[in-house]
Amino acid sequence: MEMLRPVFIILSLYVFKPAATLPSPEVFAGTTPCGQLIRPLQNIAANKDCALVEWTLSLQRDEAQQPATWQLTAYSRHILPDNNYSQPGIKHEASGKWSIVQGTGAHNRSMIYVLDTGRPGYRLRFIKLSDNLLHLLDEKGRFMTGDPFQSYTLNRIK
Amino acid sequence: MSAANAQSLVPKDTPPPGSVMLAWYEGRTPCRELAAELKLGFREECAKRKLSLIFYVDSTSRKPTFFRMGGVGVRSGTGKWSIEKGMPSDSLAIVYRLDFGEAELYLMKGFEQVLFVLDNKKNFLVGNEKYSYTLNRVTEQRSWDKWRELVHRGASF
Repeated sequence: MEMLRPVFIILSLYVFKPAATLPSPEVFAGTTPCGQLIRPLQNIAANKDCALVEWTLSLQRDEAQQPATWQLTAYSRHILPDNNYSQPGIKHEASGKWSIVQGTGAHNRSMIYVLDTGRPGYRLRFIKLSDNLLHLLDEKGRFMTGDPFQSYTLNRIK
Repeated sequence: MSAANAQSLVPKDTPPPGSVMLAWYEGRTPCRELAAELKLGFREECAKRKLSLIFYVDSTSRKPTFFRMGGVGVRSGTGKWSIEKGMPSDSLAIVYRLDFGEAELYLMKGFEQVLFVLDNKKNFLVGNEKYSYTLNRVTEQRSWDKWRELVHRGASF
């Protein structure tokens, strides 16, 4: 029996290992314009009338705190003839995997959050301005410019 | 949420003598944190501020001279601005300092097109689900109808 003791120890490490818990997701929200770059992600046709998109983006890490999956819930709205935004808007949900890469060029002092959309060649890149702030970059790595009403910044809410 | 009052703040602009316009930015921000930075009163019913900001530089040296800001209550008007380097999270960041006399405001330059509002320790202000502390450069004067037409079709600015 004594000879089996190492076996029991090893078994106890693997079989009776406490269940790993995932960290709480980082949740960012914001209201952005409907630029062409984000329309495929939001399932908004290129020529559709759209005034704004309301984002809630959850970034989940794995047990080792490494980037894992993202989940998006969004509502897009257009302006009605009475000049109010459509209510409740069109809901769209999407999900995928995300990663963090070191920025290059003008962003070489920043981390970039990359959302893989599952569509070939179509990834969204956010520059991490702080733990609480992300800003969308365009295809050339420039800060996306909003309009007088909305910006492409997402703010951490959880 | 109504778009009826979302008219673009077209600057009634006459550059100060000896200055020319460098850039014009607009944006909608939350109220609370900005009010604290500018030492303004805050009312809970205030949902957003409609900001307009124009930078002027010396017509000869191109050095910063004045700014004109709208949408900030009693702080609206003209003051002097300067360029500083560095903030706690990035020692090389370009930071604009706006001097309102009784208050000051810091903005981080994100390329030429976007400015981020900072607190008085030069940390980013964080917005909410509806509004961010981000100002976007306006590259040409457009009517509200033209803005709306272009924005809705996904044009970028």
